[in-house]
Amino acid sequence: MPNILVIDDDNSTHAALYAMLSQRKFSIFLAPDGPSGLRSINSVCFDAVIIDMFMPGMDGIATIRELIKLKPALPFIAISGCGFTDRRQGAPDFLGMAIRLGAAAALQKPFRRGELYEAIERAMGLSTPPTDTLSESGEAELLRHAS
Amino acid sequence: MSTILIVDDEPAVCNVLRLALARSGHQTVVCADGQTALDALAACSFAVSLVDLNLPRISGMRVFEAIRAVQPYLPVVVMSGAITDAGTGLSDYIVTSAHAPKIHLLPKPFRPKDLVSLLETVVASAPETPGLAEFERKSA
Repeated sequence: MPNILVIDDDNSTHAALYAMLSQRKFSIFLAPDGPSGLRSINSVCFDAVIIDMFMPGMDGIATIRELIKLKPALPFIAISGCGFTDRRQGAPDFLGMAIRLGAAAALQKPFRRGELYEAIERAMGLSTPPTDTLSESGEAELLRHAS
Repeated sequence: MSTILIVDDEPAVCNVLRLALARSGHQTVVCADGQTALDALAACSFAVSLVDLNLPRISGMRVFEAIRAVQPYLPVVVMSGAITDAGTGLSDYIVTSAHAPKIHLLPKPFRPKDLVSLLETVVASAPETPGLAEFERKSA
């Protein structure tokens, strides 16, 4: 049974993901923030990680950066209440950044059950992160344009 | 179903361990430090204890020793990412310890199914506590 770690500070998202993924025989584990999730990853082998982009303290992008350092081959999926945004709209495109950092998929909440399953299946098929990752300078550039 | 004592100071890791074991039908008692674990051992009976080597204040090794002192027949699974580090002294200890057969290592990171499998094997192969069978016979 594949083990999925969900890093999200929102209890309702935890509950929803737990309900959806348990139906598909995934084994779900929850962490309430980035540091806790990363410490769990140090102790337990997961098959994929779902990371919320907006969390207090260490946000999703910072969590992804640390995850990549820690387990570069571990696939991850980004989720966010904010969708892919155009930099002209004035909001940083966190889901876009996550994809550039190597996310197997990025989902805007609320997402459908099928979209989640498809994202996880895509993630589980990945063994190495995409080489087309966003550089530090590229991300800074993106943030500057977005602000 | 077995009751398993978990001693780990990281709540998220404890949550993973607790969930993995609960899904396999086991009860758990989670303690964040050595002293709490010793208090739990004084109050409850466990089938096996799962102890992180790197604990704050009282180290996992000292917790292990304390467990041995109060419950010498309780199987102990020691988990740590530093198990392979010769600096821990654990390997030498295990080789020379009279209790070596009852110490089991679980290197981090581990898969939840491997944790469950190891614990179930440990519980199944644990020797009967001397005196307990007689006590139960007399109590019946």
